[in-house]
Amino acid sequence: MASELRSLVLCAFAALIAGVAISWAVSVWRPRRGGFALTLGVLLAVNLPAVLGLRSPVLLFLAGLPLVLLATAPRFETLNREYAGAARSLGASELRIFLRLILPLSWHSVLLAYVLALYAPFAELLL
Amino acid sequence: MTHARLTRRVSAGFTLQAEFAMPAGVTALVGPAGAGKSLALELIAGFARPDAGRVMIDDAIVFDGETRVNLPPRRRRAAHVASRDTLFPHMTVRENLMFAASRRARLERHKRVAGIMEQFALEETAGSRTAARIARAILSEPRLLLIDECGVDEPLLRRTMSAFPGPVLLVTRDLDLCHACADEMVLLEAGRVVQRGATREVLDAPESAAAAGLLGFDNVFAATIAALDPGRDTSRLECEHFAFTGPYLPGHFNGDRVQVAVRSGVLRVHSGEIAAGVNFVALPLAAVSERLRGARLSFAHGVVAEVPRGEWERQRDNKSWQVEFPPAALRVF
Repeated sequence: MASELRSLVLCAFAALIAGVAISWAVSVWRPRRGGFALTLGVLLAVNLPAVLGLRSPVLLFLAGLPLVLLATAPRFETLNREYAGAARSLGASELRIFLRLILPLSWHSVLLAYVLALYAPFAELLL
Repeated sequence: MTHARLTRRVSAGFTLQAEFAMPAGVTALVGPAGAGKSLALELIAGFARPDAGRVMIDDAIVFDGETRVNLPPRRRRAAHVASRDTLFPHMTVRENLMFAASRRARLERHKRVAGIMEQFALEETAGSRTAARIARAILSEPRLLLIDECGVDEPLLRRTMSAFPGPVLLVTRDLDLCHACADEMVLLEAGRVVQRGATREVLDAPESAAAAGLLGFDNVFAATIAALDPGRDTSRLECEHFAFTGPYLPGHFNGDRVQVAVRSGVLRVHSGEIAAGVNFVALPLAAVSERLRGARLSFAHGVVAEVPRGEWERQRDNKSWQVEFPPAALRVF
């Protein structure tokens, strides 16, 4: 049980990092086409292992990912629109914008995303 | 040299197509809502991509449609001050300024921030947020300052000009501010430049009905030149319902169809009983709007005059009216 919990915490964290990265990338580059394909891809990726009956930490990771995206994408979208443009024209790099502006202004969304990523495998009845 | 040539199709009915230079000093971009002023700023800043054209900032090409040069905003050195409040909300004003001055080493950064805070009368928490945003933009050491409509007044613009010697592109609708501070003016309407040039020349001599409308010439009439007399420096202009004596018009001929524009503020109104002088036109009064600075009188045939309050109080009981069009104030194009 303890090792399962530990792998859950780690997998949720991995989902958080990956999800936040994808979410920020999508809100910056705003793919004109392919938004739908991306959503569908994420959903399939999440459900396919469960359908195939796989059980592994990858499953925990994949279960958390879409929830991280859901929790962070709208906030990132807003912040990108409101403040990132100003920061870019001041000469700030994307990394600096993310670390100095986006993370401090969206920590509650990120926290929520982590909680959801922890909770997701229970909702999916994986554990 | 700082210069922009922009083409960007926004929708089937609206294409921005503008070309203008931005010499050092303030260039005012003037136009009605939806003329594409903010879009032009965003294209120059690099937030959106023009379909074609070229943007040159301080001799560096930052966008060129043909060779596909398209530098990201942070490499353009064009600081953009948006029309909305973009001060980073989790930082104090000083921290905001520090963020922009990050190119500099720590000691120099503190010095510069302290200097500009004094110059713009900024405080840690209070003070004008617009001033803070302009100060922040200047601290990033741009080569071009783009200021969207954000409530810049004359003292703030003067401070900006003394702190930043390079070109400033200012979107505004305040013609008084343009007259006081701007060196160059670009009139934009429906995505097209209708006139550009030195501010006072543009303000004083509109070249088209569209430009006249943007410049506060609220009386525009179609007219025919009936006579031209270079000897006495006069001309005779016949409109549909009345006729004027104007200044001599070089470059025009008898019978030319022209437009006559005049600002409502320079028209004078008189009682119908007094003897008519030069360019006195008897007109019935249609409507009156009593405003803060004076009364706005709408006469028949679309003539609008603005008279100071005292003048209106004195004349409000007139039974009939004459409107005087001072010949020197008539603009013909």
